Amino acid sequence: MDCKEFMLQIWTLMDAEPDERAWASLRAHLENCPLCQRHYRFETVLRVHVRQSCAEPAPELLRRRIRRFIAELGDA
Amino acid sequence: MNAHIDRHRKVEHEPEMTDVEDVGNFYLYSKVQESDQMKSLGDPEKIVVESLMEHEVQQALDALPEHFRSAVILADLQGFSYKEIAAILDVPVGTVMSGLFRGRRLLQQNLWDYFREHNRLRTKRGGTPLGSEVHGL
Repeated sequence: MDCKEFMLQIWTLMDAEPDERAWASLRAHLENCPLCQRHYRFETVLRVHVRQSCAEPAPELLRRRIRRFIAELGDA
Repeated sequence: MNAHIDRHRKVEHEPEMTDVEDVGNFYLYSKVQESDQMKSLGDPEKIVVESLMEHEVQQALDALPEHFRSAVILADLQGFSYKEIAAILDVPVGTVMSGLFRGRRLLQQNLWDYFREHNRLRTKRGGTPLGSEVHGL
């Protein structure tokens, strides 16, 4: 895996969502590449900053969907 | 059959990407790093976090198209998994992934615009532009 391939999946790795095979090669690349470690740290800090900056209510469409989803769970 | 499953998996697990050569352009990190004014200032995360105000991050998020914004809010602010987001939004997991990828990319573009604006204003006001002390300009 090279840095470009890693970069393409950096958010997937942060989300802890790659499949098993991808997970191993992403972790291996990250452990051995100081450049990608810096990028990864940046993305992590940025995400925390975004989370801490935004206390907004969900958009109306999303709220409707969550309500419907909860209602469906209740019906099941 | 296996080939079909593999292909299906591949589609589901890779974000939509048209030009791998341009991949660096998607990330705020690369832009900050490549900027002449910023690159010698030290930790890019420190620079960005210190200069992007809360209301700017909020506006950058608000400016996303709603279907991307919902995915980004559910993942990045609320910490739901792709599967959970797919269930909540009633879309396939692949749609969640491409929405997240595009939404985050747009968010970083918006943040970069705010970041550049700060630096431009700082320079215009007659203050020292970011980085000039280091470059000795």
